[in-house]
Amino acid sequence: MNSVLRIEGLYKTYPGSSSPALANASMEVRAGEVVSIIGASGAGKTTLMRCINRMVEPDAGAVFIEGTEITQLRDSELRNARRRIGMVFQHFNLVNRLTVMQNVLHGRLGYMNSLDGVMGRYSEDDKLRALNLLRETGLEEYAYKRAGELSGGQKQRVGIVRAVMQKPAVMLCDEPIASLDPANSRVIMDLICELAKQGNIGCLVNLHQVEVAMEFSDRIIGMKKGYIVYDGTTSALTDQKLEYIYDKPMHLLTIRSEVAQDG
Amino acid sequence: MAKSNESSISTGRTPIAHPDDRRNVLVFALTVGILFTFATWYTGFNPFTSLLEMSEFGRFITQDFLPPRVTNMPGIMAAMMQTIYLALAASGTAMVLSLLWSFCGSTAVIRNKSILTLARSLASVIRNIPALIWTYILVFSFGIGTHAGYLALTLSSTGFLTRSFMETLDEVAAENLEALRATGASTPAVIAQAIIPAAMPGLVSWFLYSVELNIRTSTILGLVGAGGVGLLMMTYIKQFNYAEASFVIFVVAVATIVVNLLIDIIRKKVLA
Amino acid sequence: MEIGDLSTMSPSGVESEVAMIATQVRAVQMPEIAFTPVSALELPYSQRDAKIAVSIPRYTLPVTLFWGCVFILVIVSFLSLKLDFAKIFSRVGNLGGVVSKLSHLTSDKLDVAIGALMESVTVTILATVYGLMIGLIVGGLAAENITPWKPLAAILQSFFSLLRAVPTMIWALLVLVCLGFSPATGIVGMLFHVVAFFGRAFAQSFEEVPQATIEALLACGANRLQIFFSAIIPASLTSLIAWTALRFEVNFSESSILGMVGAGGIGYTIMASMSSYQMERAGTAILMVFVFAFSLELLLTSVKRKLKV
Repeated sequence: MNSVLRIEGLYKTYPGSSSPALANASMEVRAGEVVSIIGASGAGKTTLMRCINRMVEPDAGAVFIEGTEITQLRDSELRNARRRIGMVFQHFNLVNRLTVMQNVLHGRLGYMNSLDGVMGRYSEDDKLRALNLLRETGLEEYAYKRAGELSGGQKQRVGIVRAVMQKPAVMLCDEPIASLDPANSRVIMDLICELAKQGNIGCLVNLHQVEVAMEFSDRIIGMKKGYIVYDGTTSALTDQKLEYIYDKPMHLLTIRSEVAQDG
Repeated sequence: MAKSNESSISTGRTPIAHPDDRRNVLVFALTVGILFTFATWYTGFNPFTSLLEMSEFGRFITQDFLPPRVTNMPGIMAAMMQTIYLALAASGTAMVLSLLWSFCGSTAVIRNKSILTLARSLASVIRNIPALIWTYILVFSFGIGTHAGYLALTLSSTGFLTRSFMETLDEVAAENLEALRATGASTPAVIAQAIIPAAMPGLVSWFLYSVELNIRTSTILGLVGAGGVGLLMMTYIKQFNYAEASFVIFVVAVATIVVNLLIDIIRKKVLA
Repeated sequence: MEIGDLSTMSPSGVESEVAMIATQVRAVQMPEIAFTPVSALELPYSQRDAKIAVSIPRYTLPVTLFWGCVFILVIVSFLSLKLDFAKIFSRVGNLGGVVSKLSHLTSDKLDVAIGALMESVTVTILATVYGLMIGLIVGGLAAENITPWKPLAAILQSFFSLLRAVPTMIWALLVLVCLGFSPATGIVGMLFHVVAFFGRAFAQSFEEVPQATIEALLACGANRLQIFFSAIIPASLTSLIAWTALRFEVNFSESSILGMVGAGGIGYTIMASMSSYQMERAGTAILMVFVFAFSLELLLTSVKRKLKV
C-alpha cells in the first residue's frame, strides 16, 4: 500500500498565542487505512487536519498528497490538490435549502471548469454515481428532499457521500460523530471504514471518544499540546499512554476500562 | 459577591437582581433621564399644552379635510401609478447593484482588506444620509421630475439593501463556505451553487421590504419636487385645497395597505 | 456494488470503468429505484430528455417564478416611466458640480447649523421617549396573549397599519396647522408612526413570551398588571431594546427631513442653504447629519453586542 498522505514537521502557532498549536507534526497515512487522532481539547487535532488541506496555513513543514508537496501551491493548483482530499465536518456543513442530490454533487465542483460549476452542469455519469452512492448509504428516498429536513445521522451520511463523490485519495473527518447519538455514530464509523477499504482511501479521523477510535481504526495517533506523542497500533495503546495523552488519571476519563486493559 | 454583601449591610435590604442588570438599568435610566430633561428644556416641549392645542386637530380634520373631494381622478391615478413604477424600477436597479456591491463587501467572497473597507464605508455614507436629502441634492442637479426621484430612490435603496445583503451573506458564508472550498471548487462556483441558494430567503425578503419602503418614500418624494403623488398633494395643500388633498392622502393610504398585504402573501408563498 | 480502484487508473481507464458501471446500473438497477413522487411534476427523470434531475420543481419553481415576475414588472415600470437616460447622463456633470460645491465645508454660521442639528436631535429624543411610553401600553393591549379584551388586539393592529399607511411627512403637515412652526410639530407629527411601530413591534415581542410563564404566574394569583411588569417585560427586554435602538436611528432620519416641510431642524437648514445657493453651508449641514447618524449606528451596534453577551 502506498502513502497517500504524509506530513513532515508541521508547525502552527496562532497569532496572539504563546504556545504552538501544532509542533513538529510528522506522520503518514496509507491508502485504505483508517487512522484516528485522539487527544484533549486544544491538543491540536483540528489544527492538524486543517493544515493538511490548508484551510489553515501552516507556519512551516511539508504536506504530501499522493507524493505531491502542496504547501506552496496557489489558486488552481491548490484547488486541484484539494479535490483529492475529501472532508467531513462535525456539523455536516450542508446547504440546507438544497436537495441532497445537489449537496452531494458539490463534491464534483473541483473537477469542473468555472462555467459548468456556476451553471450546475453536472455530467449524467456523475449524477448516476451520486444516486448509486445514496442508495448504498440508504438515502435513496431522500435524494430529492431538502437537506435541512434530514436527521443528524442522515445529514452526516450526505456529507460523507459528498466527500466520496470527489473520488478522493485522502479523507479528513473532523469529529464526524461528535453531534450524533450512539446508534448513528456506529453507522457513520462503519461507513467510513467500508469506504476506506472499498475505495482505497486513506482516512484520518479526529475523535474524542477513545473507545470508538480503538474499535474502528487500524492505527491511532495521540496528540498533546500540539505534539504527536503516540503513533502506533490500537493494541499497543496502554492505560499509561492514555493517561499521558490526556494528562489525567484513568479514573477521571470516561474510557471503558476493558478496552484499554487489552494493551 | 462581596459588593452585594456590603450593600445589604448598609441598607439592610437584600438585593435580588443580578449586579450586572442593576448597573445596566441604572446607567440606562440615568442616560434617558438626562437626555429627556435636556431635550425638554431645549425644545420647550410641554405635552399637555400640545394636547390642548391638538383638540383643534379633530375639528380641522372633520371640517376642512372631510369629506374628500375628487375632481381629478385620472390625474391622481396616473400620479399614483407613477409613484409605484418609480418604486419598482428603483428596487429593481438597487437589487442588482446591491448584490454586486455586497459581494465586494462580504468576507465570504473577497479577501482583499482595502476593497472590503471601501465597499463597506461607501455603503455606510449612502445609508446614513436620509433619502430625502439625497433627493433634494439630485433634484438640484437633475431638475424637478421623475429622473431625480428614480435616482434618489435607487441610491437610498442600494445603500440599505447593501448592508442587509452583507449581513445575510456573512451569516450564510460562515458555515457553507468551508465545506465547498475544501472540495476544491472555484469561487464563482461556490457563489452560484451554495451561497446564493442559501441566501435566497434573505434576498427575497429584503427585496420585498425594499419595495414596501420605496413606495412609502416615493409618495413623499414629490414634496421636494421629484415626481409622483407627493407633488400633486403638495400643490393642493399650498392652494389650501384640503378636501382634494385628503383624497390624495386617502389614495396613498389605500395603496400602501394593499401593497403591504400583497407582499405578505407573496412572502409566505415564495418562502414556503 | 464494487467501485474499482479509480485513483490509480489512467483517465481512459476511469472513463471505461464509470461507463461500465453506468451501463450495469442502467440495465439492471434503475427500474428498481422506488421514489414516491407526489405528482407527475416530481419525477426525478425528465421524460423529455431523459436527464437525471438534481432538484424538483416544487422547490425551484416558486423562486424562479417570483424573480421572473419581478423582472417583468421592473421592465414594465421602466417603460412606463419613460426615463430619458441620455438626459440623466448629460446632467451627471451637474451632480459632480453640486457635490464638489457641497464639499467645501465652512464654519460660517456654524452656530445656526449646530442649533438646527440640536433641534433635530432633541425632537428625536422626545419623540422616541414619549413614543416608547405610549407604545408599551398600547403594545400590551395589542398583544393577543395579554390583552384584556380579545378583539382589541386585532382592532389596534389594524389601527396601527392605518397610521403607518400615511407618511410621517403628511402627518407633520397636518399637525402643522394646529401647532405651528415649532419643535412640538415635529414631535407630535412623528409620534403617529413611532407609536404605531412600537405598538406592533412590542406586541410581537410580548406574544413571544411563552404561555407557560404567564400561566405559572396566573396560578400564583398575580393580577394582569403584575404579570406584565414582573414577567412579560423582563422576558422580552432584549427584544424591546433592539426595537427601540432600531427606531431611534429611523427617527433621527425622519426628524432631520421634517425640517424640509418648514418646521425647524437641520433639514430646513439644508434646504434653505441650497435654495439660496449657499452650498458650503449646506454641505456642512449634510456632513453633520452623516456624522451623527453614523456615530449613532456605531454606538447602538456596540451596545447591542454588549447586551447579547
